[in-house]
Amino acid sequence: METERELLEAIREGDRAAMRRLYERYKGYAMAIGLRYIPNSDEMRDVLQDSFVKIITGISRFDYRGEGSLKSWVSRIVANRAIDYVKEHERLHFTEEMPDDVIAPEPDVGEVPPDVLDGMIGLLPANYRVVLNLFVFEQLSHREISQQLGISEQNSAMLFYRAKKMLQKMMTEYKNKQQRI
Amino acid sequence: MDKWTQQLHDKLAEREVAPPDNLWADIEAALPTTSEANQKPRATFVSLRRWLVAASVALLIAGGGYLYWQTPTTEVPTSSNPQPTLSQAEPVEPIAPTESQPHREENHGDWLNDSSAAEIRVPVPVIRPSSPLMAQNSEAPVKDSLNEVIEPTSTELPASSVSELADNNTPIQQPSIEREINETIHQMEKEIALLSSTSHKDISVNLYASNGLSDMQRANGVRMADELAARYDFEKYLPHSTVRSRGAGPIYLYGYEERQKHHQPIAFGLSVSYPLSTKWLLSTGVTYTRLHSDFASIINGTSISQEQTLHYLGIPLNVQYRLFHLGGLNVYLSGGAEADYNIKARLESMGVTQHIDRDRWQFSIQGGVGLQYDILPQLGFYAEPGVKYYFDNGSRLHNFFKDKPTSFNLQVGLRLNIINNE
Repeated sequence: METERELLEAIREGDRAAMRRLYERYKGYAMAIGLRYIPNSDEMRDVLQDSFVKIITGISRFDYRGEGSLKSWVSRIVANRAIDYVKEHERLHFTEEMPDDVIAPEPDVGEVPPDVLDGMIGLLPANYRVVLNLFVFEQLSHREISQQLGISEQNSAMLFYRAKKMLQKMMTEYKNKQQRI
Repeated sequence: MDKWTQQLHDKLAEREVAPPDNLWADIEAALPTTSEANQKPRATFVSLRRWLVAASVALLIAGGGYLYWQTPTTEVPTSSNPQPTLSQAEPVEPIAPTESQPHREENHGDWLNDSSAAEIRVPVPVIRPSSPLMAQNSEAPVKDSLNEVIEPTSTELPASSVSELADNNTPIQQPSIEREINETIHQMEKEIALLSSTSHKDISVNLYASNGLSDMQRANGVRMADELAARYDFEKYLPHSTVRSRGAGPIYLYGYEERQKHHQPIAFGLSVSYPLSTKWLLSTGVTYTRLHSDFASIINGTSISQEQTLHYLGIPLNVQYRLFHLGGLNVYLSGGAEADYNIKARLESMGVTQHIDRDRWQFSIQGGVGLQYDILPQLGFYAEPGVKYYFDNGSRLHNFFKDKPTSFNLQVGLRLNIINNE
């Protein structure tokens, strides 16, 4: 299998076939990331197209740091483009409210199919969704999230906490529903 | 990241979903014909710098040229710079000086008596009888007196004539001419000196560029949030020597690091200086400043980089105090304040441009020592090494102003005196 380094070198030499190979290699991965921010696949199409154009045209600025770093870069660009889209098209309301201290058992993630989980994340309010994605999948710290979104670290932590609780509640309801069937 | 969150990550992180059909065709259609498009931002900045250099050179040439042609010129004619002369205006007859002739050749001393003198073309000032100098009119304009009155010419003198000249007892007027020339030159020097001494009454325009003298770099660990740290009993699970409990200090995440590099600020601007007295000047204008920073978050060997560019327009208000001048070199002190407004802020994260909130008003104070060398009385080149302090404006942005509030800089520029109040 072609390594990321080989793929990069070919793209940097202007090889259009290599650009296509990059797209084929990461299109599914990128689409899944984007859908966690933008649940509507029609809207996501535009974001994904824009993301890959940016990836290919900006690839000379990418700093290769070993196998897997290109994939990480792709994911960051898709996530950032998706966040921009959400910011432009959905109301991101960041409040400083303290979370309700609800103590409930955490449902087992393994019992919910991935597509259902994606759908549940898509149902979260936009601000919850963005913070959850950045924290869980982009693995940014709350400090980094606060810098990226222009909110306080405490606000980021609170939004994640609420997103998590809301997601867990949906998972529990899903699990109960499945048991009744 | 707790166990449940980690499970969520593991379950969905590598998930793939088929994108819409024919998306590649649209992507390919949107790609530029060359992948060099990504070089644009840097090229833009390089061209900006070139433009600045070109503008400065153009201003120097234009200003210098303007001043050169506008400055009254006083040239003492020489044999290599022929002027309309009597010999050109009228046919020159071999000079046979007589007492009746009002013009005389210069007494060149003993060397004229040498026989070889016959071969020498001697430059001889020819004096018009009607000249103002001959009339001892000291009020005559300098230019006229020089261009029209004193006209050198070359006349080949026969040896006999030369010897006659040497023996001639007619009162020689040349010392008088020299005295007049000297007086004229002296008068011109006084006028130039007066012009220099009154230059403090000129309003001057300054075109300048300024650069910080150093970058600023920092690398930090990533601190674990106190809420998260509270969930772990570090005392119990970690060797005592490595434990830094909540009460003892911050706990840093392993494998996490944040690096930031603030490049030195680049500024250029245009200002106007107004003299308050012979020693004090007040100057204000407009300054453009560009700040560029690189941020990198390193998470278990994977680096996420961000580039932040901030553009400011500032209004400086400075006073200058002239210390002394030595020849064409002026030394002065400068100090003042500046307010900068962030006109544009951009954050590029892994090649994706993001919109970020603009910085708040940034206030600063500055001081320095200036050295100005006057290329022409109206045009000077100056350099001002100085120190600047930026006040904390309370914004969340990390930039050079915040992380290095006190910095040394060097400003260089051209100072053009354009209006004389005299």
